[in-house]
Amino acid sequence: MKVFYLCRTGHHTSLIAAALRLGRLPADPGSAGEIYNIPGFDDMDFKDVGKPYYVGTDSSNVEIYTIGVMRNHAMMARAANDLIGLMGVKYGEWLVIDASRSVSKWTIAGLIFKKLRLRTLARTFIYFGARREYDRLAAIYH
Amino acid sequence: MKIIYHCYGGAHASVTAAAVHLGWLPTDRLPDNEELKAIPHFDRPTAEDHGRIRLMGEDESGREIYIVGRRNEAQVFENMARGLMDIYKQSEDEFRFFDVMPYINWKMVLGGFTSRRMGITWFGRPVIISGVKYSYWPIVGLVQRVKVVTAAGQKGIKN
Repeated sequence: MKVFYLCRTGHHTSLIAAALRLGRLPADPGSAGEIYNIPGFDDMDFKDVGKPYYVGTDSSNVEIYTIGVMRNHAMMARAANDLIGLMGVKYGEWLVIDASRSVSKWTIAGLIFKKLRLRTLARTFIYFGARREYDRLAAIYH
Repeated sequence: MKIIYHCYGGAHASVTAAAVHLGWLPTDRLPDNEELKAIPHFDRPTAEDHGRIRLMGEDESGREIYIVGRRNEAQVFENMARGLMDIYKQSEDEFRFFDVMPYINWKMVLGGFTSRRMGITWFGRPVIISGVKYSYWPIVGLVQRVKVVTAAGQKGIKN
């Protein structure tokens, strides 16, 4: 079984959701340092968006991945499901979870700054965005 | 082998390329309006269909021909597809992706927007058909190159 979490980049919201599912994160993330210490967090290049990122395997042997899909999350979720189906994978052996609805506006602003190479502003906005997303997602997984 | 033609909406350029590939459209003359309108999915998918990978048919060599609309996310779509191929251990030859966007012209953009997005089909469809005819020979050229490179097992082509 494989689970794919989708968000804009695959290295922000979906990564937090995946890490929470794997039980790797506490209910309260604490400082910016703790959020940025999540393996793979914000560690991305825009040209690589779309490449699945392996986060880990849970106790039930479910492999967890994240995928960045930019703004067209519903379309890319359909494409991911269809592609996996075409690869001959049996129905029920994969799950695509769209975490895009949890993406904070702060994160979106942070990504714009990241694209503009304004690193300090980007990190600050992404941190505040991650805090908000963390609270929403932690309520599901804790 | 599965050949996937992709463009913005999966309604015009990729559908035309797939129809040429499958021999549904002529390669010695321009198709007439009725021939284009008769192609399955031609000028029919809406925004809710974007991302759906549709089987158009099998070519003479048994290769399955698909179309998909992926808006302006060609790079993201191909990154995701190749990543999923790695995860599910699909060989490079199993899936081939061909971008038909370079063959889209302003008439196809205008016609597609008015017909598919605004729902003004009576205006948009004739404009699209005119645009498809304008780009028809380049699309035929692309399909012929696709047939050659997929038969020869080469990795890709230049548009």
